[in-house]
Amino acid sequence: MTTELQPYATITSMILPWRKILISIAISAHLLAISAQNVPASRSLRALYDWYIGLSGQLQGWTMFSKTGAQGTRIELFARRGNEAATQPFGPSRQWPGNVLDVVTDAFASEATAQAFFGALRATYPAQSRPDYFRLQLLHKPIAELGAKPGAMSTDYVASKEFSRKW
Amino acid sequence: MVRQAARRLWDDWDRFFFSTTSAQAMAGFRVTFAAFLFYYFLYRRWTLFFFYGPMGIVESGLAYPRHLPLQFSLFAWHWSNTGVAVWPYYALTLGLIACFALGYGTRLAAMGIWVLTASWLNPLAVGLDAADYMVRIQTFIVMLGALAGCFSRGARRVEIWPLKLLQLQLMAIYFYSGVYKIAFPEWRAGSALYFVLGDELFGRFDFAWLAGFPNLVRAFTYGTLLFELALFPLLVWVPRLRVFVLVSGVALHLGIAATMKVDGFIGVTAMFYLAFLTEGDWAAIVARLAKMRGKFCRAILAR
Repeated sequence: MTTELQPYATITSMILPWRKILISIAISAHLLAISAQNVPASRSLRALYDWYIGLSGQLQGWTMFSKTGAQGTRIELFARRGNEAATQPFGPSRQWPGNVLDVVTDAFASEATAQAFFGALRATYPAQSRPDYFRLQLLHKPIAELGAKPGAMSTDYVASKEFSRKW
Repeated sequence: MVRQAARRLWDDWDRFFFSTTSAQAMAGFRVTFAAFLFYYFLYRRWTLFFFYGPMGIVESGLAYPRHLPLQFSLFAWHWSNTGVAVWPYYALTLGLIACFALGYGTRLAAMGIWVLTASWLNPLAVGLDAADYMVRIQTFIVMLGALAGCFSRGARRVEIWPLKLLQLQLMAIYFYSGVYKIAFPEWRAGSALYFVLGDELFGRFDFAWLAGFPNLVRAFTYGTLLFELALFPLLVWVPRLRVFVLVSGVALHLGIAATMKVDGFIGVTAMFYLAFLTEGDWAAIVARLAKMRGKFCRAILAR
């Protein structure tokens, strides 16, 4: 007597068909939703799934490092107490760790964000020596063309956006 | 004819999503993912406390931001005036991660981890980057798998679809990241990496010297595009090339970690890569660990 084996019966799960179908529908809907989020020209389709993306936290948009320019960026953050010289709370921006970098760059989103950032930063200072002035500056400088001799372009950084606060 | 094609399609779908793997493999993923989440929340502590903590950004008067419908946060309920009871929530988050790692109440723990991760990250108006998006995505997919019993103790063979969703998500990240990049002239011209590294907000060091090596820059720029658009999305599914593609990806991310200040990125990507390990890979890892650490590892991974 021979036994006919179902294809893949030994490797796929033997769960009840209705459960498999339900999971398959959920998987299909999930994949459609994230595809709609990812395809750049699918705004109307995207709107259909916004509630699911918002609820589940599946927000996509993998644009990291796509927009580069021939401009170098620097952020300067200064704090000052009374007549003392200005200090840099986190050091020069090249030395900022990733988590500080993310917060400080996002502080440029709006005046309200910058002011809330200054408020929180002041609160983290020791109570006896809280700064009474903050300045946050976004600066740009052209980067030399690829293939140019090192040091061919040595212009200084120029400020393009600035927020400040006094107490 | 149509029926046959539909049958074949269903068989392929069934094999892709509903193949089973050993409970040991899923436990290995569960423990490693929990260890990563533990590290992630420790790494993100400064940002979270700076935002939600006493006299933090929330208390400094920032309005609750809503980006998408139904995007929720437990913290929205006591926003701005009362402040967020940040320590209890933080301790609860770490506690649930520990429960998930040890396999105690995996369903409830995974659900709690997802709710808390979304609650922490959804309202963050400052300090979010792509790595945080990925963590939020991962906790949701792992939660779905946990609810379906894929990470529970005691099971002998479990379905593989949560890992497949993570694999497809990583493929989408690479592919669309490549698509967005190729829309910009610097990427098409092969000079983009020079400008990315030359920006002191991202480059760990001064890479101005790269200007003298245009061919090297072009090779790395086009190599990145090739990896994101074709190498990974297409070849990682070829069983014989899987290890080669994954090792290339690890090399790419080690290169990124060494040269760029994207600290949270390497860990979260590693979790996606873990989803590509087969049960044979996990068995080999467990055997190696068991040799090194003995009973403890065996006890954790047997759960």
